[in-house]
Amino acid sequence: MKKSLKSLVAALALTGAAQFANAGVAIVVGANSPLAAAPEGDVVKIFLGKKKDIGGSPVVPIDQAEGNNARNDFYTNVVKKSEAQLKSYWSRLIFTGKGQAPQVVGGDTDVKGMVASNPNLIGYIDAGAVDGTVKVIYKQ
Amino acid sequence: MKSNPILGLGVSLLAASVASSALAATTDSVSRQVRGLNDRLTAYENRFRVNGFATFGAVQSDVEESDDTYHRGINNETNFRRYTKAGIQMSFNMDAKTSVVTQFVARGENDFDVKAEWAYFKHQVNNQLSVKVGRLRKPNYLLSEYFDVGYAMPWTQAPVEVYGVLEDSANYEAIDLTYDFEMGDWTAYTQFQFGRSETATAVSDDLMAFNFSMNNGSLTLRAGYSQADAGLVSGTATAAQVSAINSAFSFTDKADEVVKESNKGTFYGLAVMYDNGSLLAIAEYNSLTVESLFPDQDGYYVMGGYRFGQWMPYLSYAHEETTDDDTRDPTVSPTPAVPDANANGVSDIYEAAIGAQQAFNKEQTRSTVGVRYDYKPGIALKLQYDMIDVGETKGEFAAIPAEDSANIISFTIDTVF
Repeated sequence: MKKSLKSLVAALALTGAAQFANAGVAIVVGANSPLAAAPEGDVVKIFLGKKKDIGGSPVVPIDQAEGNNARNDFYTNVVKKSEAQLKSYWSRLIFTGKGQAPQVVGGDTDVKGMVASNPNLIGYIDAGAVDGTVKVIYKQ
Repeated sequence: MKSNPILGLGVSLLAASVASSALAATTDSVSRQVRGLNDRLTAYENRFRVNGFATFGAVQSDVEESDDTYHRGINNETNFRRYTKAGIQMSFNMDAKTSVVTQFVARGENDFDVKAEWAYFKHQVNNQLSVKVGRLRKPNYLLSEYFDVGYAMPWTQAPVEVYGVLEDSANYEAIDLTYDFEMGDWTAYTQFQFGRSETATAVSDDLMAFNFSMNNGSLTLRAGYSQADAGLVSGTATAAQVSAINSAFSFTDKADEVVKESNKGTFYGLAVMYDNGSLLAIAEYNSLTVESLFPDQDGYYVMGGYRFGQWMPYLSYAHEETTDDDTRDPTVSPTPAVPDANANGVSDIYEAAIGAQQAFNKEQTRSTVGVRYDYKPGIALKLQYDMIDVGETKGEFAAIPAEDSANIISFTIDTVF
């Protein structure tokens, strides 16, 4: 009885830890980018194509493929749009020549690789995937 | 020198396989290769993009007489062509600031003939200002620039009471200057266009359009104004009607209202849209004024919908009416009395002219209930029921109908890809 309670607690703690590791998306630029931080509002505008710079430094957003955790997290909690709403939003811009959705590059590793090698790129990755090659400019 | 991406792929794969078989210090080399390959593919994809949209639609009304065809071919037989269309857009970025964009649309109602709806050259002067030159779409309405993209519209078809007015000449050759700027939390867009449009029946010269809109995420406010010198292409039925009117009135004090060769038209519109992700509400008002006997027309609609997960039921109400019916008043007699008086002492030409004029008068309301189902991102299904009333006018019917109302049911599958 005691033992099973213990393992239950352990299981709960593990679940909690897993959730913690999963909780949050980090907006990243390359480690050598001049940017230090960005307000949430700017991040949202950049990924919706409404803004092309942060504090005067030009930035180009890159997206993760549909279905990735970081993408779901980013669009649900930061941009606050569903995939269907995003599709409508971008079709209004694409087919009127006002803009193109960010380039889709794959997952966390691809985003890290690309922003690390290009100081203008800005991406989002799972907060747990952050390493020395990238710099977090906003986190949620 | 430009690298061929396919060749690059082969070279990279070859290089990668050689490197991995060598085993020594391979990991770095391979990942560098892969990264290089990724960058190159991304760069290629960034230069050339293809996007498409398509709508499959079915529409039917309860109006039985085939002569009383409602607005371009909708009657009591299911019409699979009227709402069906497909479009493909290709954008080629010549460099970071310059692109060429073409959009081809095939419409069922035109026997799927492919037409270039947009074909323009765009140059981004700086982060705020861009210039477009070529074939563009008139930016008269809130939704007019993506009118064809059913997926981006709430209805199966936008209310013709507002969107029908300039539908025939929606695309034209123009130059466009767009300037975007930020005002606190708002993003503002100003757009200026200048061009000339020509359709089978009408020509609009010196067409100028100015629009301003601002958006703060959920709320969009818009105001637009445009003007043009409109004239008729000779040899058309409308031109013949107009010349009959002219000959009946050419010597009266209404001379200044008789259709001239060039008639100044002005158009303005106001719109507000609210979309917070759950609630969608749109209201739009437009007013068109043209010199001479050309009908002046006001139109508006209000719509509201609420998203319950993938479902969005919606309601809308639209109204249009001509506002210068008095200039086509049948009680006005031509002076002096015309020689070809009939038994009633009225000129045949005059009666014909009055009849032709009254055919311009329009008053139509539309009440709509519908539901949109977002099956998955990029695919939406819509079912819509419209109740239309035209009073004593012909509304959007081809001729004054026997009954003054019609009910229309429509279904669409809208996709973007």
